[in-house]
Amino acid sequence: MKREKTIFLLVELLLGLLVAAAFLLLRSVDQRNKAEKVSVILEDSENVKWSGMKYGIRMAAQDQNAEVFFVSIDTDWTDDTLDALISEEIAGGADAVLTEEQLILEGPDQTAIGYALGRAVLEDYSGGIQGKTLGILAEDPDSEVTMLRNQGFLDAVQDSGADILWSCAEGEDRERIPAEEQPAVDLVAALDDESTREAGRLTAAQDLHGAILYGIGESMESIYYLDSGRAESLVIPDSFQTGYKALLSLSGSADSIGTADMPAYYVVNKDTLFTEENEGILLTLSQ
Amino acid sequence: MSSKKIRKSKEHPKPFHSTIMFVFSMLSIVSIVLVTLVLYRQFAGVSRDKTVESTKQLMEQTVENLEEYLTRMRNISDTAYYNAIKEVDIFSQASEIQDQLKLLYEANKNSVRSIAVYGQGGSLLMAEPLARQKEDPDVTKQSWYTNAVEKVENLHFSTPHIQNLFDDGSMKYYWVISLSRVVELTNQGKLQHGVILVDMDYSSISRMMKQINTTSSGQYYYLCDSRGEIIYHPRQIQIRDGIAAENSAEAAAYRDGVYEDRLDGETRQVVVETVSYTGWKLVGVIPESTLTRGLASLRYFLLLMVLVLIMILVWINRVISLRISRPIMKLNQSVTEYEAGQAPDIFIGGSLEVWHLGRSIQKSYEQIDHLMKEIVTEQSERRKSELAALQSQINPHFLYNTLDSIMWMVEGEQNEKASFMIDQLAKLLRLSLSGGHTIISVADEIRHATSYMNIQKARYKDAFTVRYDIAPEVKDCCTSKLILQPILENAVNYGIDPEDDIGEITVGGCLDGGRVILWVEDNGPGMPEEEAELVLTDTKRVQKKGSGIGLINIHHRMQILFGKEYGVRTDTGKEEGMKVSVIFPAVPFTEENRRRLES
Repeated sequence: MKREKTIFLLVELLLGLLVAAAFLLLRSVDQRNKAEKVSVILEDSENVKWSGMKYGIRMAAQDQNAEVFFVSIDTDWTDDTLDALISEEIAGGADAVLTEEQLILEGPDQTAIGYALGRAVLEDYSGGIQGKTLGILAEDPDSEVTMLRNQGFLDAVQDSGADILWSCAEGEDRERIPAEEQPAVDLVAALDDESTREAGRLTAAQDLHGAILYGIGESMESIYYLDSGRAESLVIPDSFQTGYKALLSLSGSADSIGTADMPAYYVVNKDTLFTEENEGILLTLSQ
Repeated sequence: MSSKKIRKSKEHPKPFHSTIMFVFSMLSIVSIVLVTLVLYRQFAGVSRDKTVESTKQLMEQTVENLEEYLTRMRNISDTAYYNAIKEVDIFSQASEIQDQLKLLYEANKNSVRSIAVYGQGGSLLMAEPLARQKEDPDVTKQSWYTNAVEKVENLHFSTPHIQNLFDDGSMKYYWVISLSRVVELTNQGKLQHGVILVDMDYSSISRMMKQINTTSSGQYYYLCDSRGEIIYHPRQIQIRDGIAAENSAEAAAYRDGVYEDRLDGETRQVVVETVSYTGWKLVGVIPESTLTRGLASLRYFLLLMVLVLIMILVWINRVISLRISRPIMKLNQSVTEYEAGQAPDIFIGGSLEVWHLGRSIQKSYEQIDHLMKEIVTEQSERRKSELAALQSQINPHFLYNTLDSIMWMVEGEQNEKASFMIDQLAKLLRLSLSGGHTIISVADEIRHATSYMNIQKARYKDAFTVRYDIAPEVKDCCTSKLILQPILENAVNYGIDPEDDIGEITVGGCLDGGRVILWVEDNGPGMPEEEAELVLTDTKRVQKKGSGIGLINIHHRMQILFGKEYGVRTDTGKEEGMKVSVIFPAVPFTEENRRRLES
């Protein structure tokens, strides 16, 4: 009788353990089905330059069954304000937080983009820009992206013989002189979308003193300036890919996607703007 | 005893309630699992069919909406051509045509991006809304134009593309689907070919498709043309970037229906519906993971329920089996205690059968107890009787008196008589011992009685005679020893009066209906009837003479040995004399019978 009771208790205990295991499995399935919340902190998140990247992040969130929330941080943010905002988001229920820094990490090679811009200038002149004067525009000379792009651009044009008359991308503690107040140059290279847009507006008003604009653009406005002839060439980073991979990196599956063969940026001029190949990048920018 | 193989049971027998519990539990578990499996399979099948069915229904509705939309676009194109342009001089009546186009555009501007008319060579003749044409788009190289002029009889729907025709200064670019057709234009009286272009706002179609692509279950819908070129896909850009893939070319070749295909190692159910006029295919994709996702949750839930149910059932089965088997377990317990030497009350209760068993066992044990007590009592009586008989064997008075008689004989130089007396005494004592046996033959008992009477005759100087009338057939029967001597002793002590004439004592034996009857009869004064009754019943009766054992000892010994119906009978119906008979069954004297009677 005692033995039988012991066996009974052991059987009940085993069944109890199986019940607990089944319950945990059920909960894990429910947890898997539950969407994770991701907060993305961007400086001035409504700026059109983020269009492609935000679209990439949204698509990645859809594929990963996650909800994404874009949070704007002021342009004069500090590490402390960023940390405070991250903590706030996590306290508000975010399962993960994505910052600009992580986006840059997943982004394309910025030096290569700067270099491609330099090459675009040289190819238009078949390498012969000796004697030409160059001006370089950049919105934020202190940002890592600007520095890398500037480096790449300079690497491309360093032996061209062109004379860089002014540059907004270099120099510390200097006040940025507006482009229209800069000395006239033959060619203007804009290292970011804001600068490209600014330069594009200036060309319409002839305030760029006839300089030919080459820029790095990530907005439809920049595209318009290319389409309307105000810019000669644009280097368009594939920000969709950057945003997509950045979100995937949170779950550790960024390496599993096959984008090795896809270009990280496109060099586009007016003739090739609306080709089937380049229309795709325009689709991401228009979202 | 014949040798038998003793077959040992390999297993110990299991408790009754364990068997009940095990059987009930196994039956319950098997039933629950079978039913759950069947229901799950049924539900999974129905769920799968329902998912496909609902997908088909949704797609049918969406195709209707698309066709309605495309029909509207066609109607706009038809209206523009047949109502505004056909057989109207485009040169002289340009403003009227423009007004008509404007009305048409205004009425449909939610869906239409622009309506344009191109002449031969791709020159823009008019357009609505009015906008500056871009300087350099060579429309004759754009696909909508080339498709239209290649097949002049058809209306052509393009895949989505950016409208690269006009510059409205808004810096916006619009995704459109171009509906183009070759038309006959009248220009200053001359007929020429032109192309009407109606650019449909792609957002109308993309909005329609986004509405049905709201689920996060993995199921999705996409639109492709007859060649598999994607018109809308929720993962269009991922496909462009190589992050995702799609079997659109294969799907475009399917006719309407449900198919199974594999992509990236995953099986999918693919539902295809054709959109009329365009040859477009609306494709619904249901990955296997979508079909099984909800089922995974259900599976674990059912597993949880089954396990909980089994837990409860095992417990209930145990309770029930214990309740059912409790009466028999109590009965078993009380029997076990009884076997261990305790004296519990045997459990009587439970169901009818168990109650009956308990009562039967109780009665059996009571009978056993009673029989045991009877046996003990019988054995005790037997021992007492044998002891008493044994005591009579060595009655010191008889021995003393006999030896005294022998001494007087020797002193009186009656050597022959003395020798005879010693011889008879020796025989008497030898037969008394009988090798320690209590059962002897009737012949030996008669010899014993003869020796005794010979000694008594010598002692009493032949004051009486003894006659032996023993039937030969009784001599070889079994009897208890020392049954005649006490009777003869009584006959000598009470049946012979020395003052009277010579007494006569007869020792007889015969067979009567399987019974042996040995009797001793004397011609003495006899015994009153009332006293004779006490001889066999009054155990406290003290004999005045003799060994003091009495007839009651013989009577008890014979009853213990052979049964209540045997024993001593006294016959006092005569005026004088007394006859005492000993009756017992005729059992042949063999070693086997002797051992049986002595055990």
